[in-house]
Amino acid sequence: MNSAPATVPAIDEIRSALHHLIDPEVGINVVDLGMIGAIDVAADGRVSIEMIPTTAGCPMHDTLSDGAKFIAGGVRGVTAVDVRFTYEPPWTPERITPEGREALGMM
Amino acid sequence: MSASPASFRPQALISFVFFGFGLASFAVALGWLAARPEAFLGAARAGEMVALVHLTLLGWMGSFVFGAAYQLIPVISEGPLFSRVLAWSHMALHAAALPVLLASMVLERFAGAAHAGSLLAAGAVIGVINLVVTASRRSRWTPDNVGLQLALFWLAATVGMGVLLALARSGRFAWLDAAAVLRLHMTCGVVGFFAGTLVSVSFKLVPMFLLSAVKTQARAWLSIVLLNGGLALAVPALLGNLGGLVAVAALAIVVGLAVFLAEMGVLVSRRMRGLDWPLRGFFSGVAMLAPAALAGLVGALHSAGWLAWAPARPGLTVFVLGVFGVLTPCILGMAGRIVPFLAWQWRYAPHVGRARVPLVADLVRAPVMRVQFFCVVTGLLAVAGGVAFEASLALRVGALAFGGAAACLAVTGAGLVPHLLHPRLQPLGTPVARPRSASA
Repeated sequence: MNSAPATVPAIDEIRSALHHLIDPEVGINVVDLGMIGAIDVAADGRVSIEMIPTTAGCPMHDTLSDGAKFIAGGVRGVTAVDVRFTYEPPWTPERITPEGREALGMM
Repeated sequence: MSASPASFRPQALISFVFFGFGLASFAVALGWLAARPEAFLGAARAGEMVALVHLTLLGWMGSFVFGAAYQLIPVISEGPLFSRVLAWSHMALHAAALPVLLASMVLERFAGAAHAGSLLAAGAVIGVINLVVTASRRSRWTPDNVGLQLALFWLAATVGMGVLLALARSGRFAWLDAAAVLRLHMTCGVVGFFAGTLVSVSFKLVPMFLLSAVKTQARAWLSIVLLNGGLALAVPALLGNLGGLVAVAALAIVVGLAVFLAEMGVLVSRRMRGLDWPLRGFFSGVAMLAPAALAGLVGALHSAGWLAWAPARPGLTVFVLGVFGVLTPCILGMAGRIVPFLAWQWRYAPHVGRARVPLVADLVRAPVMRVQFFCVVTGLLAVAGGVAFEASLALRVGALAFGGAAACLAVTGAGLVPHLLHPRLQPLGTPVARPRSASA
């Protein structure tokens, strides 16, 4: 059982940490790629991250999910991390941030 | 909101072994073609040409397609492979039976060919069952999934007819119209399995690689329905030698392929990223579907008496355009994407989030990919010209150019070995280089 943390983790801090998670096929981080949806933080430090795959059945699912769990788990105050994939609404290129578009050299 | 399916990681080793066997078969086939181009022009004994065709289709393309299928079908069906034991059993039967089958064909010993073909068929059936069960465990009514299962059905039909044909040639089933079964065997194999797989897989992988989505689902469905409906119509038409019905079936197949090409055209024109060299090679092959399909249609209309002109040998023209113009560039292009990805997945996936790992594009060298692309284009032009003008020299040049492309793929594969032995890991905070692709 997880004990209550001294500090409730900040969502911004978790999102910022996820900038270190790079999609190895596309070459930019999952936040700028628009793959991170809602992040929920419970009072006991449990974190739930919603990920939106760029395509259904992407073979990177597990890899990115494991990476997100590890990175978010390292944020101060986080006691447990759950990653859920969602397809509704589906990922579209419009989800890519301006920083991501610039990094990708999108046309 | 829909939750994610059960987690899975694709199996890399079985795919690598199939790819290696396919590449070795391709090298032997190209060496054979360069040394004895007359075998391909029909001037040699029939057995030699049949063996060379089967080495190309089963050894090179069949191995590569199965290797890719063991990777892609779990991806498409979003679940793990049903059985690794069945996959390795398939590989063992495939590798053991194919050399015996080819030797029997060269020597025109059709009883031996029937036995070896039966073993090969057993392997293929095991593979098909394994893949169909994998695909159907999470059955999704999407064009790619349905199309791929239909392609596997046509493969089973092709294999069955091949064994039947070998038995007929060895003196059994005298009542069988071997010529009609041969035409059906070729049509089901080249169009049903190989073209069907290409179309289905493209609907999944192309949007994935281009960071896009199929623009019109109805167009994708129409393509799958017309392609497979035309093939279903071709079965009684070819067996009954019904020229008019064959022409109608060919027309349906060609329209289905045209719809597929239209969807690919839309995807490419609206892409969000540049095309890297492997994808350029892949789309060169896809574009060659148009002349290959037209050549097939002209042959069918000519046979039906609806068209006065046709190429001198329409069957060989379609085969060359299909195998060397369409499928070989597509396979080499996809291999340039899939092989490095598998190596990356194997070596670096466990470190993601824990250390800075190279991108998939960092595992390949763009100049090698570029040379591979130009070798493929040279090869397909030379081989097509060689068959059209019955020029042995052009066939030799084409074989050498394709050999260069295969060598480039081997160089790419060899370049992955250092990563497999000594993964390049850096601390997580290391700045990320600007994303690049193999088009650089």
